[in-house]
Amino acid sequence: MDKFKEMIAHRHEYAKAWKARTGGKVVGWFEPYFPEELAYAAGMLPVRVLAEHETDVITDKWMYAACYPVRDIVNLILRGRYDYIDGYVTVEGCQWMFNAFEVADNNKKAPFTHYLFLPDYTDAPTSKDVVRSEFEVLKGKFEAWTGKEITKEALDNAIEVYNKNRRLLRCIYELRRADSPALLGSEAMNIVLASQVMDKAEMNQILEKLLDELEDRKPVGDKIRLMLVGSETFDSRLEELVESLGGNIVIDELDTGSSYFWNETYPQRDRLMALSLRYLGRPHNPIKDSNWRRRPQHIFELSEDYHVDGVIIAKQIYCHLHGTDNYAVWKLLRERNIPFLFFERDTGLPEEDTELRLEAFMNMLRPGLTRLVGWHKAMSL
Amino acid sequence: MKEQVWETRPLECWAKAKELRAEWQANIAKDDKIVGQGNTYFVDWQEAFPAIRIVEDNPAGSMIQAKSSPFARKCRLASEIRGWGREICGYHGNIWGSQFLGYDENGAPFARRHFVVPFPCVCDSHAKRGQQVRDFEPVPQWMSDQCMYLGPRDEDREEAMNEHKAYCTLRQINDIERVFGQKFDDEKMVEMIHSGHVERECRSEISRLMAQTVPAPISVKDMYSFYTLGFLTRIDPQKNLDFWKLVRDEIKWRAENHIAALGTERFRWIEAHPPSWHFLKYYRYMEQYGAVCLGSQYTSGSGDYKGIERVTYPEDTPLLTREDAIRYSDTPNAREPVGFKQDEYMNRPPYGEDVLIKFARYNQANGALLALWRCGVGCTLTRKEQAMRLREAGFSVLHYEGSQPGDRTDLDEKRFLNQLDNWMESQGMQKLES
Amino acid sequence: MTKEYGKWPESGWSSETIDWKKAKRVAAGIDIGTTSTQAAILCDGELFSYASVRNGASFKKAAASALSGAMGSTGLSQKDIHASAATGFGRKHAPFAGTLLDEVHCHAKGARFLFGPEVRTVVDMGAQSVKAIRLYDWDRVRDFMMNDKCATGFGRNVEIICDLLDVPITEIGAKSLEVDSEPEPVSTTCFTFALTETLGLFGEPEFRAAPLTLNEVYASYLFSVAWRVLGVVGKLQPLDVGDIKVYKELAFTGGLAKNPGITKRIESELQVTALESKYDPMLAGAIGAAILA
Repeated sequence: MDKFKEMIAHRHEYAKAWKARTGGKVVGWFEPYFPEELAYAAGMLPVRVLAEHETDVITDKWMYAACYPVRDIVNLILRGRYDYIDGYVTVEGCQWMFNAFEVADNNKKAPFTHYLFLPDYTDAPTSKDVVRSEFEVLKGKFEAWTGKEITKEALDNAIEVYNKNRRLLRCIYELRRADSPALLGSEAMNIVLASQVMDKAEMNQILEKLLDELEDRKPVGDKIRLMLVGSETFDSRLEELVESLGGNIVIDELDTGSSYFWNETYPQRDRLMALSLRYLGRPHNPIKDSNWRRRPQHIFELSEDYHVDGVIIAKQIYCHLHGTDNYAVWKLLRERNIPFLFFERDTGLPEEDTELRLEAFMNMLRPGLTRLVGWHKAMSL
Repeated sequence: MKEQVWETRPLECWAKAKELRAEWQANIAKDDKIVGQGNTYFVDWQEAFPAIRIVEDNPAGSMIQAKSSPFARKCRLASEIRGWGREICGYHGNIWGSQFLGYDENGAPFARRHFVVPFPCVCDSHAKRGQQVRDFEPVPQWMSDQCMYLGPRDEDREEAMNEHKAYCTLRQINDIERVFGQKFDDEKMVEMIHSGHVERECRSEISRLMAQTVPAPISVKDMYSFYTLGFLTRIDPQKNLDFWKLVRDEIKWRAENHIAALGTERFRWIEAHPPSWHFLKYYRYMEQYGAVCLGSQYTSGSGDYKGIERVTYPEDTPLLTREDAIRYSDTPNAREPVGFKQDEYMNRPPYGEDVLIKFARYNQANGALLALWRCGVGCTLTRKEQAMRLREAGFSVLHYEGSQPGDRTDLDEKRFLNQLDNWMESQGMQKLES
Repeated sequence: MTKEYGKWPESGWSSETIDWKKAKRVAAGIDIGTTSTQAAILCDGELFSYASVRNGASFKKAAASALSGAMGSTGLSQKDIHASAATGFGRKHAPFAGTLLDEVHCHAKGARFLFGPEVRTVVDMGAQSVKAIRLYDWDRVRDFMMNDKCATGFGRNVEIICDLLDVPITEIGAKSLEVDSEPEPVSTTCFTFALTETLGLFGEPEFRAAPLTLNEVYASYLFSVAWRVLGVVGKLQPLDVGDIKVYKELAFTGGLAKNPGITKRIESELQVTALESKYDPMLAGAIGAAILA
């Protein structure tokens, strides 16, 4: 299981090795509505530009009040950590993320950059046409850049590879519904994150093997079942902290988690339209949930399906989208008597403070107090 | 005042502006019409429904802060405790807080909204905040979109965007006819496009005179009294048009006769965004240095500084049907994005010169004061980069920090004034004796 | 050495009527906060003794000092204590404690001990964080809420402002209430913003006829602290759809509970009168830990 965490830690080396091996281009994407299939069909390796905290003395020159993941992404790009990326694509979405794209574009010019418009009004009959048109523009730009046509066969293959990946990840998430799941929340999170930076065909092989292993694995035991909701996270530290206190995050509703793979592309002759419908039909993140509210209901349904005891809502500071959506999510959870813990975080998690909140929350959820008896044996005081 | 160079006198149209603003304010509170919550800039068809009034969240929210800090604070707390983040735009915290509380700053009941068209602006996810009206009670909601892209004009790329935009607007109109039993007046819509064009020409002329005349015949301090009249705060169309002609004529007369907004003008500066509405008095503070503010691309009614050919009303393209009119009025949003934020995305390197540099040059400015709003994403991103570009282009720039124009929370007034002193002194300016 | 204004004096007390030797169960609770530590000892559920000390640079030393302060000259020693528990930010630094407990449940228990079983809402305002706790009738925590990440350091900043303005922490609250009308508060976002803005309130104002009086400066600052606490309290479930609704049985704990400049302003906004206790409200965490030990 640790291999997925390793994979994320060494994602830069992985991408560089992939480039050396295949001679292909790596395209970095910022926003979750990026149609990875197009890049994959063009022979590229699409990787999500993940945030990771490093000492940051650079971004303040360019940015003000941006959320920390965005700052960390810019920091990494300007420091050259993502220099192997040949092109950046962003999709209309979070404005801070757009800022990251823009600062990167202005200061670390990649050979290829593209801004893709995706309507906030996702449900209009014309929305799918706009997205299809935008995908066509991107396809054309990829073709011009690589000098190679993206054939129907390549697109079909990409759609199938991605669908398979989504199905496999859904299988893994299904295992988490068990009373005593075969895997921990942190492990699942690392699998999904690794999936966003790896070649999907390779990842699919690993996942198939993993599923076999999981069938025989000893369950992790009876723990407090929690759900994680909120701003994007880029590591499994919060999940690990929950586990250290006797809980297990059994389901998430994160853009970097379940929402990434939840729905498939249903093939049709017009491949771009099929992709358009897939992306417009995915579980919406707050900004694309601008019309009728689907997201709170989706959160509720997941919480029911996974029998959670409580919900953790962790919002990144300065995340204005979740800062706006929380109202509706809180309202629904309150109406349905689902306890939740809300707190703010940034890329780095303040462990002491978060631990205190989590522990109090779990004590609130379970009858009888959690007592860390014998804790001092493990500490050198 | 010593060092007085030019004659100055108060604006005569100011009283009229005050009257019209009061009329708008009174209209919001009235319940004589079907009230829609939306952005009147995008819902520009409203006059064709005589029984409908659109209230816009931004000016209504800023009015709350301008009128009463304690009430605005209470409103924002009412939003915060229901889950709204503290980094959310103060305009929305104020207006929705007032809705949560159920009353306005005068203690009158919060006027009921009968439908909502969330503000479809890429600036700072306004559309999401518009959902609040629908969350509060199940009223009809119609969505729209502000489509944009980066790079050179691409008509193929615009085609689907324009269709989408036209669909959204036509659907709003058709549904409102159905839901509220109202008749949309197609001829009125065409008439509004004509009069809107005249209004825009007036605004454009005022901005040109303001920018290109030394001394400036009007400063943004006065402009703030009425720049939202018409496109954001809707009043009677004919009164509105008469008013803008009146302003234009007066400014023209002032420019021709060298009547200055500030008699001691010797430093011209621009902004990129409105200041905190409770602290407009800092413009007067700057006037002690002989520094006059020409506003921002946000307040400027002129797109001339962009150097882009203006979209004008096509005399040779008759607008015969509702659809013609809607397509005509909607498509410029995709063709020549008019929102101030889109300007900044698109008019910047590598797509051209920074729009703020163009604006500074057009206004013959010496410097720029750029706010950094902690709670205003759309108003803040790109700002630091723009400052760097402005400095490279030879303009002096000062940043100051605050929450958002509708939220006075983080504006440290003393510190701000100290910064202004330092800035002015760094430019070799001393306070003039009064 | 410069006089220190911002620190609550260290204190200690022991019962003259209880004989610990007769107690069936002697329990100790220790609440190691970020700036001060309290220890409380209960004999068969009755408060026997307590001590409150400043932390200094070591949680561990503060913990030992608080416990020995509580044992004082009563003749009690650690071996006589049947159960002990630690809570608070520095709880992991009390090796003698048998159990570690979370602050929320300790403060809830402690508040019911100090203020009576009718307490429904506890507002703990410490040096580092603010916690608002909603309790069921039957002694369970129904909900709790803590301060936002960028609004931390409540109590500590009040101490700093007292030191900067040379006003004793025991007096700033009462003085801040001696104003004719509430001045505009300084920033309610973050205490560093609030601090710098407060220091800017002195001197000749640009847009006001006269400078603020000292009491008005205190009021401006403490109002901003009170307002931030309201943001935490207001989020508690169950939430009323109108104004903030707080069950009338409200108790303040923690160091700031002793600052009427904060508590009275919160009470006034919420239109409630907080419950009172004969004991120091800073002890709630330690007493709660002792009960739950």
